[in-house]
Formats: sequence, C-alpha cells, structure tokens
Amino acid sequence: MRQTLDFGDGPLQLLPERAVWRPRERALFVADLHLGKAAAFRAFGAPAPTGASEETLRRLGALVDEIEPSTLIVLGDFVHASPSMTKGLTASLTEWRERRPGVECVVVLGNHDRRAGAWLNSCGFAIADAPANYAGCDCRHFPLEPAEALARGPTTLAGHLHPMTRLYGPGRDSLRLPCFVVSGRQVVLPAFGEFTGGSPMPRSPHARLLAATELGVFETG
Amino acid sequence: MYDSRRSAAERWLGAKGWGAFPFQLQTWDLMRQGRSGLLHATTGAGKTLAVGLGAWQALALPESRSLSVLWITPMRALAADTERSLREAFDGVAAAAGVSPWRVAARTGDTSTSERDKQSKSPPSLLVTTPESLSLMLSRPDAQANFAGLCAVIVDEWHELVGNKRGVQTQLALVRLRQWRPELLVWGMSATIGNLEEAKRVLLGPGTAEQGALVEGRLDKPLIVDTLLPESPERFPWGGHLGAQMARAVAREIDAHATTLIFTNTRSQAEIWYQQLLKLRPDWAGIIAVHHGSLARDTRDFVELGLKQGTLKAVVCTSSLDLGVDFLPVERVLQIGSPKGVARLLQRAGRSGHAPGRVSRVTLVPSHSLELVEGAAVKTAIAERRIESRQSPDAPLDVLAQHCVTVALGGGFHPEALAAEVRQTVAYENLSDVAWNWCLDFVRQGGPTLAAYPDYRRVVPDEHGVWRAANAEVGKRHRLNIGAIVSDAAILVQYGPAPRGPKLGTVEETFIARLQPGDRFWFSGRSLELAQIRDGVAFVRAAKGGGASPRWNGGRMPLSTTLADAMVEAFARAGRGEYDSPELLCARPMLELQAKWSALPTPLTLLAETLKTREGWHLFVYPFAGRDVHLGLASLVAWRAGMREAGTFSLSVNDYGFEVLSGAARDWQEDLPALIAPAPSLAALTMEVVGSLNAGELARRRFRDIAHIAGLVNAGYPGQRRSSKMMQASSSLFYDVFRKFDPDNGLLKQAEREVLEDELDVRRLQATLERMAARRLDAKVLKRCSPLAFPLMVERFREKLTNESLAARVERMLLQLNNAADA
Repeated sequence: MRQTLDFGDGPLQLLPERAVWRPRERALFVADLHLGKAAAFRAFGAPAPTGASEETLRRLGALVDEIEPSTLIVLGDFVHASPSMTKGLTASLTEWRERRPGVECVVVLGNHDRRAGAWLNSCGFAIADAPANYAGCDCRHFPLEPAEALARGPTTLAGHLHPMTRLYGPGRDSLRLPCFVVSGRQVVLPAFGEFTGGSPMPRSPHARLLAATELGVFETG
Repeated sequence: MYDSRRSAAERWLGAKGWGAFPFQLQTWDLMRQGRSGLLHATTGAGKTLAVGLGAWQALALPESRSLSVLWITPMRALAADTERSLREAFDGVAAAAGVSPWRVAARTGDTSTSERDKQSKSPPSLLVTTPESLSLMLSRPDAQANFAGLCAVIVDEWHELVGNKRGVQTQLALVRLRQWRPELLVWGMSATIGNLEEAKRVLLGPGTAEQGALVEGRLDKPLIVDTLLPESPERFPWGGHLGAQMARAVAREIDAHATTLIFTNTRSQAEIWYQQLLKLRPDWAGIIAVHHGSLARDTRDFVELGLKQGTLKAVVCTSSLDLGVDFLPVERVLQIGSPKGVARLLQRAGRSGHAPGRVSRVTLVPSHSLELVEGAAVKTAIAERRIESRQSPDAPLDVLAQHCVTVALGGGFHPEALAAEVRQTVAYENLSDVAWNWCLDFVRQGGPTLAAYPDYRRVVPDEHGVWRAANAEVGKRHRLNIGAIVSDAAILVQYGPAPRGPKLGTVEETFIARLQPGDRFWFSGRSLELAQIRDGVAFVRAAKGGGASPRWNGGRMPLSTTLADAMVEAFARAGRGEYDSPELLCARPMLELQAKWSALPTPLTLLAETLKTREGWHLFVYPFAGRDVHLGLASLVAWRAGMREAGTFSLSVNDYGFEVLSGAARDWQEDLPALIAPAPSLAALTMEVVGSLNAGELARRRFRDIAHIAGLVNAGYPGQRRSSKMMQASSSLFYDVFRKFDPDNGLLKQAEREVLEDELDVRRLQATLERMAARRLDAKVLKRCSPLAFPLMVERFREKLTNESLAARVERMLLQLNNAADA
C-alpha cells in the first residue's frame, strides 16, 4: 500500500520499498544507500562482510525495472567513502547502469560522497550539488530546518537522517521500523541501503512519521 | 643482605606500632625462597605490606635502572593510593636498612603522556598499573626489552579479576611475561571467595600452580550485619518505594557517626540517594559527596581525599569504592538495596573498622520489602560460612583475538609458539585447534573464508613467518580499543560551550540522545541544563532543581545462587510462622499477603502464578535461581509456548523469578507443566535453546561486547572525536549484517556460545528444570497482582521473543493504533 501526498504541485507517492515516486514526471527518488560501506570498514581494519552493497543494488534494480522511471534521483550518500570505490563496486555499478540505458540517473551529492563526483561520472551517473531541482522538487541531502520546511516553497525531498519510528503493540510488543518524515512540504526519506542503521525520530506535532514495511506505508503518529 | 632487610622491615613495622603478623612473615619467607602464591586476606589486614615488603626483601635489584616489579590493580582509581602507600613503606624500610629506596610509579589510563615518556626513559623499580595498561605495554614493539629485568608480578584484588574477561587478559599477559622471564615470581591477593585453590590455579597457570603457596592472612575481624528496618514496610515490593522513608533513617545514621560510606548497586541509585539526602539536609552541601565510575577524575580524587582527611561526613558510592584504599577512617558502612552476594557484602563490610583488630559492621538499607527477606538470608549464609565461588571464563575468542593483535604489535609471533603459550593459562588450557585456527584467520583476513572479506588485513606473516601488524593504522586502532570492559558509548559532560568550564564526567549517549537543549537532568550531584551537544561533548549550564537522572546500563549484577537458596529457606521459615529475625518480622505484612493471595515459596515447592490484565496474559514462575538462569528459563518457556501456537512474548526477569507475557490469549495453567518439564535429553534441550536464541534478542545484546573487544566497532574515548565519521556503525547493525551476509562468522558463534554458556547454559538449565520438576508445582490463579509478581510486572527492561512474522506483528500493532484512534 502506497501513501499519496500532494503539496499543491502534483502527487507524490511514498513506496513501501523506501522510495518516493513522482508519477506525473515519472521520477523515482531514493536516499542513503551507503554502497561500499563494508569495504571502507575493511580498509580501516574492521572485518565487515561483503554482500550488503550487492543486495542494495539488486533491490534498487528490481524497483527501477518494475516501475520504469524516466529519472532516478539519489538524494545523497550513494557511496560511503573513498575506500568504498573498489574495482568490484565500480564494475557492478557500471554494469547496473549499462543494463538500464533508458533511465536518467542523477546523484545529488551528500556528505559521504561529496568527493566521489568523478568516480560516479565514470560509472555512468550524473551528479548535482544540493539543492537541485528535479521533477519540480527541491532535492537535497541535508533536510531543511523544521521552521523552513513549514514555510511556503516547492516540495522538498531530503535524506541524511536515516529516520526510524517505533510501533507499539499489545503485550508490550514494540518494533523499530524505517520511516518517512513528513513535515510541512518536506519529505525525509528512510535510508535505502542494507548496511545503514538509523536513528529514532522524536514525536512532534509538526511531523508525520510513516513506517515503510513489507505490508505497506503506514501512519504511526 | 636478606637478613638485614628483614630486620629493617621488622624494625620499621615495629616503629609504626604494628609489628609483623605471622602471615606477613610467612609470605616473606616464601617469596625469599622464590615461590609464587596467593595470599588470602581482606583489605586493611596488611596484605600490601606482606607482599610489597616481601618483594623488597627477596629481590636484590641491580643498580642499573630497569623495571623489576609490576603491581597490577583492577581499578585505576586505586593506582594512586597503592603507589603512595608502597612508596611510604619502601622509603621507610630503606631508611631503616640504610640503602637507597625503590622508586615507585603508576601508569594507568589517567597517566599523562609526559609522565609515560619519563617512565620509559628512566623506568621505576616498581610500576603500579592496570590489566589494560599492561596489555598496552605488551603491544609496544620493544616490549620484551622493557621487561628484560622484570623479577616479580603482583596482582592485587585477584578475586575481582578471576571470574571475568579482564582476568583472562591478565592470565594472558602473565604467561607472556613468564615466557620472557621463566623465573618470574607471581603473587596474588584475594579477599574471601568460595574457591581459593581454584583462584590460585587460575593465577599461576595449570602447569605451575602445584608449587604455588596459599597463605591464609588474618581474617578474624569480627563482623556485624544488621538492617535499618522501615517503620511502615510496604506490602508491595517496589524498587525505590521505601526510598524517602529510608532516607530519613539513613540521615540519622550519618548524623550519629563521624564518617559513613553509603554503597549503592548502580550509579543512578547513587545520584538519586545523594539528592534525597541533600533535600533532607541542605546544610550538608559540601560535607557529603557522591562517587562513581562515570564522574570526572578530579571529582573522584577530591572525594577520595576528603574521605582520607576526614573532611567528608558521608559519601554515596558504587563499587567504585569497593576496593583498596587502605586505612580509610570510615566508621559506618551502609548498603542500599540488595547485597547481591555474600562475598560482596563481606568485602563492603571490610570498609568499616578498617584498621587491624577493629570490628567491621555493615547495615543493610532495604529499598523494598523483599530485600528484608534477603537481609535475613544473608545473615544466615554468613553465619554458616556459605560463600560464592568464581570461575575463570572458558576460552573467550574475543579476548584471544585481541591478544593476538597485541602480541603481533609487540614484536610479532609464530603461531605454534603462541598457541602453546596461551594454552598455559587456565582460560585456554582446553583451546581447540579449530578455535585457534579461527582466531588466526580472524586477525589475518577477517574470517575463515577469504572471499567474504576482500582487501582486509590486520595481522599478516612476514617473510620469516613472524606474524606482525599489517600497518600503522592497525596499531593505532588497537591501542584505542584495548580492554575487556565495554560500556555504552559515553559522552562527556562539561560546562560550556562559552566559556568552557570544568568537565563533570560521562553519561551514556543513549541517555543524552533523548534530551533536547533546555532539558534538565541530575548528574554529579548537581542539577544541569543541556545547552548543546557538539563534537561528542554535552555542554551544560547550572540549573535550579528538577530533571531526570541518567541511567547507566552496565553492571546489573545477579543475585548469587548461594544467597537465593538462603532466601527460599527464609521464606519457608516465614511460612511455618518462624519469624526468627527482625528482618522477617518487619516483612511480615508482605509475607502474609503473599501467603493469602497466593503462596510462599519453599525448598519443596515451585511457586507459579497466572494473571489476566489489560496488558495480556501473564505467567509468573519463581525458581530463585538468579537472574541469568531465569532469563534462560523465560526464553525457553516462551519458545515452547510459541511452538504450540506462534506468538510474541515479552519477558521480564529478576533474581527471584520470571514473567512471560503474551498479548494474545494463552491458557498458562493448562500448558504450564509441559512448558517447564525437563527435556528428554541434553541434545533435545540444546535444539530448543538454540531455537529460542534465534527468536530472541539475547545474542544481539551479547554481541555488543564481543564486537568491541574484537575491534569491530570503535568505542573511542569520551569527549574524543570518533576516529572517523566513515567508521561509525553500531554493533547491532554489525550483528544484522553478519546474520544476513556471513551467518557462520566466528564472533556470531561466540555470542551464541556465550549466551548458551552464561544465560542459557544448557546443562544448568536442564539441572534447574530437573530441580523444578522434583518440587511440587504450586500453580495459583491470581485475582490481582501478588507481592512477588509486582516487581516483575512493573519492570521496564524486557526481553522479547517472537516466532511470528514481522507482518503479523505490524498488523496487530496497526489494529491497536486504529482502535485507539477510533475510541
């Protein structure tokens, strides 16, 4: 189940796959993949296993192939760090790109990949500095301050926070789930990557937290 | 030379008015003969002089300046004191003998870089240090040369180390040193524990323990244990509920004595009690203080000095003041809440009447009425000399991996030689080749399968087959992380940001993360307002009153089984109407209510209770087997219930029993006998326990410590910027990634194994199940919560166990959310 929002400049769908879909412009948004994070850990002497980046790329490919967007916009932290840009990742990313020639792919640079521009270009991804305008949306990595997001302006999409929300059930059950944070005209996306973690968002009267689960996207308060 | 030194030592002790005790003379003789050993003596009985002066007499040190004696102390807070009292003794005896005195220095995490440099250039004769600092010294490339003149190692407070991973770290360091110095004299000092012979074996190693001596020190200090009885005891045992009432009683005790130490079980309890006392007696500001391990060094030093000089009237403290600091002028010792164990209470009692020959007295201050029963129990146990044993951990791979990197940095190693060396410790005497090879693979390439960890190298063999650190970064990271104590990520609390004021100490990041700027909290005995968090520092301003108290997650100690058994006996006596101690008499209203609404536990019955509330269907069982075993039992019961019908359970445990709560309907009374039945075989039980482990969160929790010790996550030091933003990942995240992408990882296996051994020890579980089955099941249906069930029901920290799909849980949660929205 998707959730559809509209801030007055066209519909916006929050997808259970932790992505945002702009149907009119056929634009797909994701944030915080942190590809190659495990490789960066290994380079610094911590034995993190392989597999997470491949799984993240596989999921992204499946989503793109299903939805067939004309543009894919990554809202920053696509790649984790410079030691992440291994030969292996370069090869799989290039191959991923070559298999989808019809999709325009842009990375709005975040704090982790601000120096990865040239490498991303070489893998076939366009880059842009934040804020950038795609599909009528203000695209950035760092979210706007709450007061700014509540003021008037274009629909704003951001990442960086890796937001999570907590759900409570009977018998003192509780769960932490990745979520979208909607405040004013801004949507902060949950992290798309496998090896990312997250931080719980405080409840606030100005922010809606919508959990992204396998059952769909649900309001959690 | 020896005779003249001995007579100098005796003259000096005589001049002090003490004289040498027989056990001191015995220790001196043994050390003179070059024998190692363990000295059993309480703090304040003169053990430091027994071993310190023994070394001084036995070792004729060459004029050349090299480090001759290492003195290992488990707490760095003790290092400065030990240094002072040893220096005083060495100066005294040297003057009496007319020789130049030994030079004494201390080296801990608190020692400045310039002081360290000075020690390296001109080593002292004796160095006081901690297990962590010793490992750091072993990781230096010139370690062997630095220890070339080492003659003796002395381990203080060995009872504090023998049963934990820091003790394993010490065992490994000792065999390393003995490799270089085969004649090394090793002496330990231990307070009373149930298995001193075993403790000696762990210290000296299985190969050499035979020749070691066990010296009995003076232990005849008279001991009085009593309880401050509440005037109106509660019938419902709620932690802290008696607080305000008892605070007045505690204040009266403080008033009546010159100096009082008030021991609490947790750091937050210490902060809260300090506030309570100040609220009652504002005039005590400045003459009472709080002391715990998270406070800034300066604050702790100030408090310790105040205690020594007698300028402080009372100090509320945690185990931070359990050890050492000989001859404190403390007149009165109070223990707030459960003593947890007989050995621990004996140790704390020893803080009063500390000088030889004085009476020790400790007074229990119950924080709820069940602790009155504990008080009655601990008195019986002490009278019958029932004291807990402590076992060395068995082959923990995380400590071994850390040691391999230490040795690789400290000169390198040949695998066969190092394997033989570590097998000389009790901890690793049964280390399997499989485990050892895994450990080598782990430090070399991250794991046994090279493919999983491309580009990863920590320790690699050079062209001569000597395993060394792969690069300088490895050493830097390793030295930052060395140690076997894991705490949650700590954040520094400091006045500021402009102007920057004094540092107050550290709190856990999880606590600060919940606060917004402007929020108030209590810390270091003050009310503070959070200004901002920047670069890993929480800047604060002084505030007036109000606010939360931080919680520190570490160090929740289980009640010992020795004490738990004594407790069930006390309940049974009450059940027979034998209210034979003031504590039981005082708890009588609670005990009678328990008997009326349910039943009292006895050694012959197993009490269980069921209850339906708005929260769901509760099952309470009271095996009195200690919180670790209860956690295992609760997981097992929930797992078996989930096998009958899939579900999600919330588990709560304490030292007396456990609760399993289901949000969906369960007929606990009907199912109970099968749920707690012993398994047909150990193998069958193991299958069930592994199943429950995968459905629960225990292994994830355990993995946190392992990931840190093995160098997977970087703890960094409080206040220091984390090494790099790129290197941040929580152990929990690592746990998920390993589970998904490298399920056979050795560290995951270790986490599982540790849970299986500590919390879910299959043999112990089966033994407990059999003991439970041998008792008559006394299953009561409650109309309302009983006094014994109450503390379990209000417990906030809970384990979860589920074998339902995520979707099923989310669906139920959303249903509840929607119902609430519609209501």
